[in-house]
Amino acid sequence: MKSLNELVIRNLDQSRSRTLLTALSVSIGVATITATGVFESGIKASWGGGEGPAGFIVNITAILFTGVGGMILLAAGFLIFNAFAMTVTQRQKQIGMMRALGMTRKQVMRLILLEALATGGIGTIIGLLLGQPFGQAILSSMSQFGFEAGRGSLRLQDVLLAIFLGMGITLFASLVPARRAASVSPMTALKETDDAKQVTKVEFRSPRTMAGFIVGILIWAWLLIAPPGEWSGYYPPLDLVLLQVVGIIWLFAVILLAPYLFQKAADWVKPFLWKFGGISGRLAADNLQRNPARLTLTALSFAIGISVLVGAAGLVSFQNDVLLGTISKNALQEAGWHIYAFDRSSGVAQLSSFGNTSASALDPAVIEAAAEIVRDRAEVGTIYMVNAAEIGSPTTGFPSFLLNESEVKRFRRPEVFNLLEGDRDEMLRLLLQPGCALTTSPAVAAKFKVTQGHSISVTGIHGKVDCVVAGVGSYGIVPVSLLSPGARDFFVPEGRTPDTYAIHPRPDTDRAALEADIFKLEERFPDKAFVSTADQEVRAVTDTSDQLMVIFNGMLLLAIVGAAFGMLNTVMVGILERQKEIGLLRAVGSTRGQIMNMLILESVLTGIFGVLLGAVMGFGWAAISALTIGGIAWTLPDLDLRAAAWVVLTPAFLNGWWAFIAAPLMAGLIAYPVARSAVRGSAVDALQPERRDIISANRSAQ
Amino acid sequence: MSILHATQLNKEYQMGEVTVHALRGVDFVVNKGEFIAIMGASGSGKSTLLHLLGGLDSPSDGEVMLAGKRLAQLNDNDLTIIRRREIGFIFQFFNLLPTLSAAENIALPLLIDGKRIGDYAAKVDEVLTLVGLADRKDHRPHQLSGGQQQRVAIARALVTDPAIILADEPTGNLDSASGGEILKILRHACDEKEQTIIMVTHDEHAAKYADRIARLKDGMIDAQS
Ligand SMILES: Nc1ncnc2c1ncn2[C@@H]1O[C@H](COP(=O)(O)OP(=O)(O)OP(=O)(O)O)[C@@H](O)[C@H]1O
Ligand SMILES: [Mg+2]
Repeated sequence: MKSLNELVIRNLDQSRSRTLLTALSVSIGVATITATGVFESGIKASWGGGEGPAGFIVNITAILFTGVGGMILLAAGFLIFNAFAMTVTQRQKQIGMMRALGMTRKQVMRLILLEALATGGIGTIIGLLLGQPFGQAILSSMSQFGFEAGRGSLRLQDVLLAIFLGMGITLFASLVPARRAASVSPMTALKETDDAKQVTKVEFRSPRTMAGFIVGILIWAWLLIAPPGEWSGYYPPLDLVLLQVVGIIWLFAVILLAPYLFQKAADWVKPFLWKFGGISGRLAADNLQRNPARLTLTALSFAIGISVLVGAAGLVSFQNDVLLGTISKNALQEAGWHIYAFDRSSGVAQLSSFGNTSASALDPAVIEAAAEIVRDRAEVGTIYMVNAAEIGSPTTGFPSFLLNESEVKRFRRPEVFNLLEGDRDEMLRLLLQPGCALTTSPAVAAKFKVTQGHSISVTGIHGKVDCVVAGVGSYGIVPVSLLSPGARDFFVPEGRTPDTYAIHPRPDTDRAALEADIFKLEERFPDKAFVSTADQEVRAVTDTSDQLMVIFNGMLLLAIVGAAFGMLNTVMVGILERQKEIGLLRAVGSTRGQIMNMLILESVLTGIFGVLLGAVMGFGWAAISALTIGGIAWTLPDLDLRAAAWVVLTPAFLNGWWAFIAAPLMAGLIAYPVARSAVRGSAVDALQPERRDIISANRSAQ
Repeated sequence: MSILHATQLNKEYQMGEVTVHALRGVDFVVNKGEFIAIMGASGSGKSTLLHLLGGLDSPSDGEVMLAGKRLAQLNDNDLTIIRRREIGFIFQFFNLLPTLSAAENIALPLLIDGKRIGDYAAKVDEVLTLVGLADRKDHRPHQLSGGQQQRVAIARALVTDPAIILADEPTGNLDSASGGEILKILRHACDEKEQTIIMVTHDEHAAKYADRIARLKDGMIDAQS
């Protein structure tokens, strides 16, 4: 055993640069995972912890963070897998030699796994050290986008996850090729022709390709023929669950199809590359086809960042442009003003106040002053934000609103309350009678299988209360649940002031004069009164999601940096592997420039393939968001989801287009220094890489 | 008339503390149209000499004149162009690119030179026939035997009609029958086209095909015959 350990160390030492490279890739993966955790904790810290009443924020973002974080993890996993699989595959011959010299399969396996543990361990440690500053750097860089994030911290759960994945994936990635290597006979491993490994062909009929194809067709047929977003009785959080499940299925379908599609694409571009790029172009296309699995993994590490960039933008656009855009038309007609105790236009920052009942109550002096200003020029509503878990709409955890009588009376007008189920007079009667009554969105009604006149048991401040359903429909720009004035004692603590003061001008009022008077409140009560116009109400929601988008773009920066390192590693090992070919090309008269062109072109093409893959996945996700979330939760049951799925593609493109260009450019830039070093020195160096290895090993022994 | 002229070639490799003298003061003259065999024990510097003569590597000391040009004075691009047009290389192992067919491998120096393979189809066919592989032109290297691969490499070395062909143990890993074929082809190229051939070999029998034998010992020319 001692001697085997020695062999491990000698192996690692002899191929020191390669070991270092692999360990570095692992460390980048681990650092990305750790940094994501640090980043997430920093964001949450800036929202005042996101505990308690602001639960819905945590809810939405947790899902998005898990989704995006999971994607980054996946990319990091690919990175680690690729790096290690390449190192082991590359050494098949050496392994065969050891088999020939009398090593058993078990010994070979143990040797490789020990190496994996050593390499993965080094990489994981470096990655953990890099993760914290890396995550913090991304956090700080976000202030440039107008978002002040707090300090992120390294949480135990992230450390454990990073270690588990760093070591786990390394072991897993080495297991597959190690088994392959151990299972080949010593003879095959030793054969000289191993160098001239033939081109691997992926058939359309291969089980993998067929599976991807069939799953892809089925999922889209289902989504387009019967979008889940149109199901009756569809309610949150089922939509978010379905969104994620369908999204992952689509991801796997694309991954299964990718090797075949890449091969076809390479076949297709080859004549053009040959024609316009000469022999360098031809060889670059050839080389891409040699290892479809590796190409797919490398392209995927780019694709994932790009697809989330595109897909998340599609999701946000569906919410902002389609849902809010449609629903806010009514709200704008009803133009008035709302007074809050916090700044609604502060984007993500307001989320910590919105729904946080201790932070959002208005100062009594503000209410008094407002009443004095308005007098009889407008109808006035007072609104309490209330957290009632059961009826949260449009997402679970979203606050509900308890209205006073005058606000409820306005529901006589259809443009104020869009009643979808039930009789309007009956609704008003129920809402104005003593005791708890509520209106809610069709989604929540479906969840409890109730309609007008039925009741729901809701948790109030003193325990469960039975509330009668007065109507199903929506009010304002977000399809929230509303509670009647009679429910006040059950949900609002004694002596609390309202959170919102709503002012609706009478038809004969001079709007401009009233508006000017109302805005004076902001000067009189700095930091206590914030006036929000109807227009700003809509923007409060869209700004918030736009800022969330910035946060995600920040996270994606992590993914893209990770992808860049993955690319670097792939290019380096790819060149190391083909040193002899490069030497041969040099010997028969290829200039350095020609070889560099070939290597860089390969890299750029990989980047382009990554973009294509990312675009297919991302646009798919954008459309899937529309088709799975649907309009029911937002009281828009008649929304044309197929049209919406089409509409969101444009904003999705606008958020991601720069990455379509950046990825191939970055791939080329990364390949440049590696390609340069590959052609440095005389041609004979490249023809005798073993000798060079020995020399460097000897040198390091000094 | 000399086509290759090496004077006082030295090549040293630094391996940590130890300096390996692969070549120590080799003088070597090759005339146009000559077929020379270089022989010597393993490690005597044969491959090193061949690499220096072909401009694949540069000497620590001394100089190589090739067709009237001092290789040391050329930049990498000019040297590459000379390799591409004036020299044909045949190595002992790993001669072919795995993704290219036999015909494409043969045409590689032409393709690298920016020529269209279509314009040279006749030339490629000619050398393919010469090495007896006319029916294998579309095969990939892994579909060819070791001897066939070696013949493809020779065809590639011939396709540009280079003035000089440098071969490092071209028959080293072949049986004597296929080895003999290859030697005949080289001899033919020398006789018919006045091409200069320098071949490293271990095999006394192979060396018989040459006009002259240079023997290396410990990095020095021991004897010429
Ligand atoms: N890149 C290198 N680094 C260090 N030493 C080298 C290098 N290349 C060659 N040598 C040394 O130079 C000497 C001559 O090597 P060369 O390859 O020319 O021998 P050879 O005559 O071709 O041997 P063989 O018949 O075994 O191929 C040897 O001692 C070898 O170890
Ligand atoms: Mg040799």
